[in-house]
Amino acid sequence: MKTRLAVILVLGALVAGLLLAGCAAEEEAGGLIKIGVLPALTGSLATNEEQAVHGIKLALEEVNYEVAGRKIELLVEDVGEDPALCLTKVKKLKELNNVDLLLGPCVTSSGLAIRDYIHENEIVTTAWFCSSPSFLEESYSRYFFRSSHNSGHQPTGHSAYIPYTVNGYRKAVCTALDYQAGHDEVEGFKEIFEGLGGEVIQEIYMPIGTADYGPYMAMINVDNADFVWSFHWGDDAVRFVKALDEYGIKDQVGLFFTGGATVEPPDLWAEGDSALGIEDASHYSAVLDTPENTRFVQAIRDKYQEDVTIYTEHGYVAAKMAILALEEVEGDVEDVAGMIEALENLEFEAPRGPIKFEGLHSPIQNIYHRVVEKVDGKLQNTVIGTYANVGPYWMPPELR
Amino acid sequence: MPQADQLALVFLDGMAFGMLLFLLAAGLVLMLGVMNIINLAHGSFYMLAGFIGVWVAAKTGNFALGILAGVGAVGVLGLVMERFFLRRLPGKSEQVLFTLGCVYIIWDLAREVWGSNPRFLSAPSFLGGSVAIGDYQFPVYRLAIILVGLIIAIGLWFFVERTRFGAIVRAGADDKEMVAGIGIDIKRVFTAVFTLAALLAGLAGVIATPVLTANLRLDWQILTLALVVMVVGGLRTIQGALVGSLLIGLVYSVGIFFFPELSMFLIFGVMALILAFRPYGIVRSHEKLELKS
Repeated sequence: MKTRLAVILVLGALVAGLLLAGCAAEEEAGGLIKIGVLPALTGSLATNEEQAVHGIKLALEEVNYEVAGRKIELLVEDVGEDPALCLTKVKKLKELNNVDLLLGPCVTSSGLAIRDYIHENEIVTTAWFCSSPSFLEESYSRYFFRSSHNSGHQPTGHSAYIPYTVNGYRKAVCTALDYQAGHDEVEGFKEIFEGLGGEVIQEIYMPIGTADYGPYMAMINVDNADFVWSFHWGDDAVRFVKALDEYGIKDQVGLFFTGGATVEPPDLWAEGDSALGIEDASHYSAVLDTPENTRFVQAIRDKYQEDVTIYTEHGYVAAKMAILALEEVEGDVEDVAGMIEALENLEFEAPRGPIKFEGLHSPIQNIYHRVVEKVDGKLQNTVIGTYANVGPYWMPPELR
Repeated sequence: MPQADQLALVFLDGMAFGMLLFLLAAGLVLMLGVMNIINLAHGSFYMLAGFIGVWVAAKTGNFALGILAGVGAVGVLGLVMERFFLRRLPGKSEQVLFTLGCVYIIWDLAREVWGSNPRFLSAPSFLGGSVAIGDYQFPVYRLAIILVGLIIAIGLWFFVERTRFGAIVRAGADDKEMVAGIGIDIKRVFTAVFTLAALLAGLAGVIATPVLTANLRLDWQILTLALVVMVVGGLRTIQGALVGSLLIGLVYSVGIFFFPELSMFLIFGVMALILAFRPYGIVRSHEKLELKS
């Protein structure tokens, strides 16, 4: 008798406790805004992704992790290099943690893997790269935004326009890593460069992870070319740039690349003096001389003792997009349509300069003509020209 | 139609790359020949030595110290691995699995310590600059690699064929019971060979960094190439390792020049051809690749 009573009391207490906890959780959830963050903290992008997370955290600290009286909580999940893992983590964040928004991911393949899920579950997402045009075309979703650029068009278009109009180059040798994005970039370059009247005399694709770039140097037609154009990144970019210098290609032809790639920090720092004088077109530079960028760079230096890279800036802007949209809807993150409208109408000053969307899901921004210089013993991408209001599918005036 | 200077460049590139492969393959050949074990962590030694070399050279400003540090660290690692772990494992399969485990551990450690971005080491200034070859320039450093590779090849050959220790190593490869039977501590021989192979891998790792950078992809990439070299050149002799690596280096270089997107395919294609028509490798040795337990 007594045992049975005891059991009933204990069970009753448990149930009551669970109910209370449930209620308390709901009350908390009513106030707390949960944002899932999807960096690839393991794998070959780990260091860069950490920088993106730093950018995100800085943006949130600037508003004290709070918008319109509601507290914001970040849930960071490492999505690694496997797109399937990214999807698993997104499901976990949604179904277990009930996130309201997502920040990330970085790599296009992971973004494509989660696209259908976030579309069906109506989760507003701001990615900090995912720069493939497919996110604006066949994989478009009204819930998916990004803070980056549009591969193959922006800033690629200017990497063709500037050498033609400013440098006066007419003949290009295109080199790129041999995968889908590399081919897309070359296509984008050709469209503008040949459209303006230039000629691509060689297209050389190099497998990702090529150990020795020496043999490719012999192939480059230095007698006929005005410049070499490149789309490389990571350790391939370092070996490629080094080879261009060691094999004397640099002394014979101009080097004008597409931005956010070959001579972008941190690869730039590994390339060392071999990268000096290389020009490119990009939507950001860590040494951009504006009050907002100067403030941003210093803030990251103070907080994390590191130098800003494009990853830091993209992460920061992705978070800022979410925060500004939240402010616009006065913290009502549940108003998904309102969030989308706010994001589509955003206009603000980012470290990279003015950024706006005008209904698009990829930024309209400045493109900068940059050249690699050494200042105070350190390599940087000095800005020597600015082109404003460049949209994701920009075409030069001559070709419209 | 390729010009003469382009072909010269391609040939020299092939030789230089081949020499880097040789340094690695030589160590693997020693280990396989004597201990009948394939050390999957060999590429990891190479990668680790590269990272350590960059780190020390950057801190001290001295390339030679970087080499010493990289080679030394990896040599110690090899010694510890063999003496305290490999020796105690019962069979060859277990030993190979252990080395595989080491690959993952070393990779994670490297990423923890140095992050995921590539690191670069510049060639020492007295080996910097380039020599003119027609319209092109060829880096002096790669010429130096070819020279170093040749010196080491000759040195290794001499060591294995003409010294007492080399004789013991060769005897241990043929019949280790007999070697133990005449009073030589075969276990010590194994440890010495393993350590020597690790030292070679370490040397290759640091020397290669001004060409290949130190990056987290190197361990598998280099190991794969070294294994191809071994299959092509013949598994058990230093001469085979040399022939195989120079051949693969040339195939890579020439292949890129004429068929730029097919470089890796060509390398494995050559390996497939050799396996089909000359399975013992180009330099005849007596055994095909077999993992004996």
